[in-house]
Amino acid sequence: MASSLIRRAMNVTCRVSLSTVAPASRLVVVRPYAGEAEAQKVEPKAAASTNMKTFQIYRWNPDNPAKPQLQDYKIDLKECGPMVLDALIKIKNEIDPSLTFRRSCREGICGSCAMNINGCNGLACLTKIESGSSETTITPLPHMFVIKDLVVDMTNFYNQYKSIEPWLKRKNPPPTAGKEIPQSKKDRAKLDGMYECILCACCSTSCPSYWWNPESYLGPAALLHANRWISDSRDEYTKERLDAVNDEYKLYRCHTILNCARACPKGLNPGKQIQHIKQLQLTG
Amino acid sequence: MASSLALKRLVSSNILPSSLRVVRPIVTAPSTSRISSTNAMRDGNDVFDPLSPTMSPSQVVNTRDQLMKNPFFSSSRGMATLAKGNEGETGEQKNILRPLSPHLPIYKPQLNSTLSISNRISGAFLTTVLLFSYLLSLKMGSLCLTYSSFYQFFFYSAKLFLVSASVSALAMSYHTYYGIRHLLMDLLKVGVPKVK
Repeated sequence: MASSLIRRAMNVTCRVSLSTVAPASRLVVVRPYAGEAEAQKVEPKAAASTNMKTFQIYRWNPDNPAKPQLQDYKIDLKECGPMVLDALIKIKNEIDPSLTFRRSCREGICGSCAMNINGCNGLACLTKIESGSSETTITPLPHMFVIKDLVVDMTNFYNQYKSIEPWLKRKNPPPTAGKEIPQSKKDRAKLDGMYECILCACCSTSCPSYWWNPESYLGPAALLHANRWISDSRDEYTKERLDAVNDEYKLYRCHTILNCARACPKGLNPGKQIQHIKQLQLTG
Repeated sequence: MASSLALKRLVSSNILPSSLRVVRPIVTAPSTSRISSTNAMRDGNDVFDPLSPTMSPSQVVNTRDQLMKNPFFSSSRGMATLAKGNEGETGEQKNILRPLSPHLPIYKPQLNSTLSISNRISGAFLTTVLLFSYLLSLKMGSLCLTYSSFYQFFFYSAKLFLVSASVSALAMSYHTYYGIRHLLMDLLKVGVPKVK
């Protein structure tokens, strides 16, 4: 309904200025896009055929630093896609272009749109908008420094991932020189549940231990990847990797709170992998 | 690291004038430069330890605003300090403090996290009860004889003893069950919760 209103408004302005407008700009005007002027006119009003939902979104602008606020936006769910990311893009297009958030693939594989929706971390492109008239609260990933609105500083998270050396390390050359290092199906199956991680940081930022020790505790994501390389049969630095992680703070800040397993949008269980590392430390 | 934390706290309090704030990036750089980014400048108030109350992001920014309005210096001098801070660092970003996104107040409590924190709370409660009751039972006599108000208090609250005993029994049993579950999960992988 809103888009047809825009189209009608565009046609009206188009007809009025058709005689005076040059041919090139006529082509531009006819395209029904929501420009600045049109955006001001779109005011979703609750009617019989609309399904309004309020989104409370965390806002903070570094250019005008003030107290961070929760701003309300009303969206007609009938005109919007099912996922939270669709709602965010609709708000940015039609209501408030200054809303800032990260997004890329819109299908749950890049991990850019990780944020806290209704108290739980998840990917905005995979989280369905809750039906019903309750408000949806969207805040950035918890206990991270906010760059702007829903964008947080992930530098510490990436550095921790780098610190576990997430690449294959060998002491000897491969058994058949020049060819790949063979790995049985069983050994490859050991990596299932770890290689799918997209480094969205939903798990690490849901862990209270990571909130209180962000720089010394590695966090579930980095530890999941540490276990991925420890469990890889092709990797020959297993003992060194275990020793590198075997630290009071790096590994043992985990108290099996298991918020990470609940938050993971890909269905992985970092808590289980951390328990695996702890078991290896006991026995190995 | 503790000394740098103490220094951060001192600098961010209203006691010191703002001219010393320019010194802050250089002083704290060795301890935090490796992992924290150049953009994330942290106030001493942002450091969370179990003893201090956690500050909401609005509180952090508010504290910074209050510091800006400190009667020690005029606003122009405050702005000049900010500009100097610009030059001293990379010269490309503004010297503003970023808020910390909300965590405890907004995160939805779940079964696993509630069980875990109850374990910690019951453990702390049992520790205090144990130590406090030991101390109390040792010193009860001399304490009551010296301070009559304490004697009155203990006389009238003697009935509460049964209640507090049952509460501690509850805490003890919960803590023990959780501890056994933890042991089983760690050693035998029994009862690890399935992922959704």
